[in-house]
Amino acid sequence: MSFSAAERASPLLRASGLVAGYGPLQVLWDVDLEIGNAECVILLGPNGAGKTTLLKALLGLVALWRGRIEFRGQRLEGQRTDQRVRQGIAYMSEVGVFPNLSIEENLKLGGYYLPRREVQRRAQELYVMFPDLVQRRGVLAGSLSGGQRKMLSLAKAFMSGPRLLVMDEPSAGLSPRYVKEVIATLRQLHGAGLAMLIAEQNLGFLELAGRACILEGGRIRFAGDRTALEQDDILRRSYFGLQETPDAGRD
Amino acid sequence: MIAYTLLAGLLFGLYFSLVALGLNLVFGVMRLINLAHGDFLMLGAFLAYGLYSSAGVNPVYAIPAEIVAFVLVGVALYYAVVPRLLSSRDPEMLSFILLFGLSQIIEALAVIAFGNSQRAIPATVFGIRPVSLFGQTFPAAWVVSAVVSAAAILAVYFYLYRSRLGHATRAVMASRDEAASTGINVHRVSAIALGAGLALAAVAGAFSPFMLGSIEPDMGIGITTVSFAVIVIGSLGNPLGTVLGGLVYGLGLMLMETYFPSWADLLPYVLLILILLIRPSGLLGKRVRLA
Repeated sequence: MSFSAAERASPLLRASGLVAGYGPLQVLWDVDLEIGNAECVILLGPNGAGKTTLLKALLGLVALWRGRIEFRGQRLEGQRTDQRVRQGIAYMSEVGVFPNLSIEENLKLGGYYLPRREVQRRAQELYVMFPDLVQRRGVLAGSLSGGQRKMLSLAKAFMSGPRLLVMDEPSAGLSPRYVKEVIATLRQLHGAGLAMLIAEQNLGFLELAGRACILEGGRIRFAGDRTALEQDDILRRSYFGLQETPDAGRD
Repeated sequence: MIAYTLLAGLLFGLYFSLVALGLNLVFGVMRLINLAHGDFLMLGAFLAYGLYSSAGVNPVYAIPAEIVAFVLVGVALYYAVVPRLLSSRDPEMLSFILLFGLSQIIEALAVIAFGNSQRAIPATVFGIRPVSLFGQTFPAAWVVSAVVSAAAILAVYFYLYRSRLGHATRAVMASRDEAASTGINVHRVSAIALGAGLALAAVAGAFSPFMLGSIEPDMGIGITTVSFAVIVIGSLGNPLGTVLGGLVYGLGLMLMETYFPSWADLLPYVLLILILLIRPSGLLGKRVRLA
């Protein structure tokens, strides 16, 4: 991936003063977030901290009460979700696939707004990258195992050729073996210049990240280099102490 | 006798599939029951009647006009109402009130515009010779209606399963949020689906004079009820499940009219209660539905 001089100078995504919630319930309180080109940022925080809400607010799936979001120099607040996606943000939700569609249909929908020939070409590339999916391309995504479903949702998100991949708990519901596989795949994508924002509770994903943010009670409690996080005593105890190994209990 | 009843049941079954197909398509995409479905069918019937009485247009040739007119109506109705409806606090309840009101308004306006008298298109537009099927003879109008219905069902199949737009439509059926974050313009896809749903109702309306009796402005509510029964029997939210529901209903109707004619009007309600007791997710449903 190549970047223009302006893109190298300014961050890929800059969100400031985000306030959002559901109905009368405020979830995010003045959240700031920056992601540089080809940077991987991990978003940590306990359940209910507002991680999913933050991701959804960036995508426009949750209405923003206040704040501004800039992506590649463009303001995103007034745009619909699909318009934001077309600007180069791919979103991988916890569900991630359409269970009533086949693997191939899911994958091709990932490139819904690309020209038909481009979709074919990229689908072939992704089948090479995700060989498990090729033989079963006619199978309904709903019949896949959790791990295969995650791989499909990753392939589907990557289909559009995004600049930023936003992921909500990619480890959810996966066995440790599959978590390792997902991490390996993400490292490969990151190595190719893809920026990432990963909301996670599984600390195995920390190795991918250059920077980490901790969200608690809808506020950013820490934002900085991963090494700074690892050296911070209090944070280390509250995050690393509790979860040293990949979370296998939820599989 | 029984062979005639069963074959007639299949012809009517195909037709009732078409009658209900649009309702199920709209429910699948928008998760709301279009209570004005039958009224749009009525409007489609009056459009066909108008084209026939003023210019002698055969209902089969009226189909393109029906499709164009009602796709436009559906798309306009979608953008006028649905986005605001879906962002309201209680879209389900609000949609019931709104669509019930729309149904009443359409009916009232139709009474003003067309009067309360019954209209008909003579079945002789399809010729006076009956058609012979497997040794039984049927009015040509029944066979034409069934053939048109089968063609419309096939068209819906190709739309949903063989086109890019159809894949996006099924994606929206699975989850609006997931579809939007895949880059699909959910509003555009839904607006087209509502247009297609109304167009299907209107095409069914063009053949209603031959299959449902005379055309009148207050025919809508009864048709909405029958359509609802058909899609619940098949599978709510699964458009092609409608075909199974339609066939069950058509066969049931013909059997009732042959053997218990005075009870035939009760059929939709009886079938609805039976299916809800025995298999609440519909004959093709996999699990109890959530919506």
